[in-house]
Amino acid sequence: MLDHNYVGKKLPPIRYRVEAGKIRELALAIGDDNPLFHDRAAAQAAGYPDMVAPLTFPTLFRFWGGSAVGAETRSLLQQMGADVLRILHGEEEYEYFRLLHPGDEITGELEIVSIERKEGSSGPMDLVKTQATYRNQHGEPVVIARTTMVVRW
Amino acid sequence: MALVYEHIRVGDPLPALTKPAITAEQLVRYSGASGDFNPIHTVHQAGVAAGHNGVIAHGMLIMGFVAQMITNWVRPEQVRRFGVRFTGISRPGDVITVTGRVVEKFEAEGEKRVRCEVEAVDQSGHRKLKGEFVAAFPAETTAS
Repeated sequence: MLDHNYVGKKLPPIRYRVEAGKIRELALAIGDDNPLFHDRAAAQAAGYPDMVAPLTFPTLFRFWGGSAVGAETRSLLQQMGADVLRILHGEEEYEYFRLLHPGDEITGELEIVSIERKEGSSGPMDLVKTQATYRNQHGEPVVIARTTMVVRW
Repeated sequence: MALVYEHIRVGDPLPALTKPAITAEQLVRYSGASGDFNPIHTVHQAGVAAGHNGVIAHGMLIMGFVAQMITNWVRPEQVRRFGVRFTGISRPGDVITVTGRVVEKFEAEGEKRVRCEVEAVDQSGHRKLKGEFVAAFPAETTAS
């Protein structure tokens, strides 16, 4: 099972600049045609200062906001002894404080908050819970992200 | 035309959303957009090695479908909290339908809020995730 000494460990700081192109790219990949996510003029006509990011946009922070794209959470779990092919996403939760717009400079730290052993139907598994509070360039909280990864053995 | 708290009732269904079938191309696009390059989403052999018979969709893509349903219903700034538990794997070809319903109306932090349950199922009725969100609503007296 995973080493409990990793509880409390923080990953290297995350920095991410929100860009209009990435907002639209995510909306296109999801197939979400809400004009707020595609067009600045449409967002302004709806009363926003600029385009708005979709609700699941904060997932980009941990994948694109580290030094190695997409690799850091995975490499930490690998370092802890997990097989990357046997990691599944268990839960995801966001608590929102502000909308995300292009130009926002996001910073945050991802911390491992708990590791819990469970007996699943296909054998033992470890639930690894992480949490990050993301803030903007003014130091204001934007979103808290809580993630549970499932490491199967 | 904005939804008003007084007009929302516990038990009300939310407008459902059925997505076009997931495609392998979409998983490549979602990997690039999100930055999640785990090969189980894009490389057939990696999906097989992981015991899935091929590539599987990112859970966050399915959560993105649910998010689309939510922001078809309310404006993004109304959403206070949104969480899901992934309960099943999705593959290319799966047609996902997102449904939801209002389960609670309450006041917190000086706001009128609504809690809704949501779920995503495929064409065979297999559930992919279950979750809930909380949205704040203007009251009738203050709505413009």
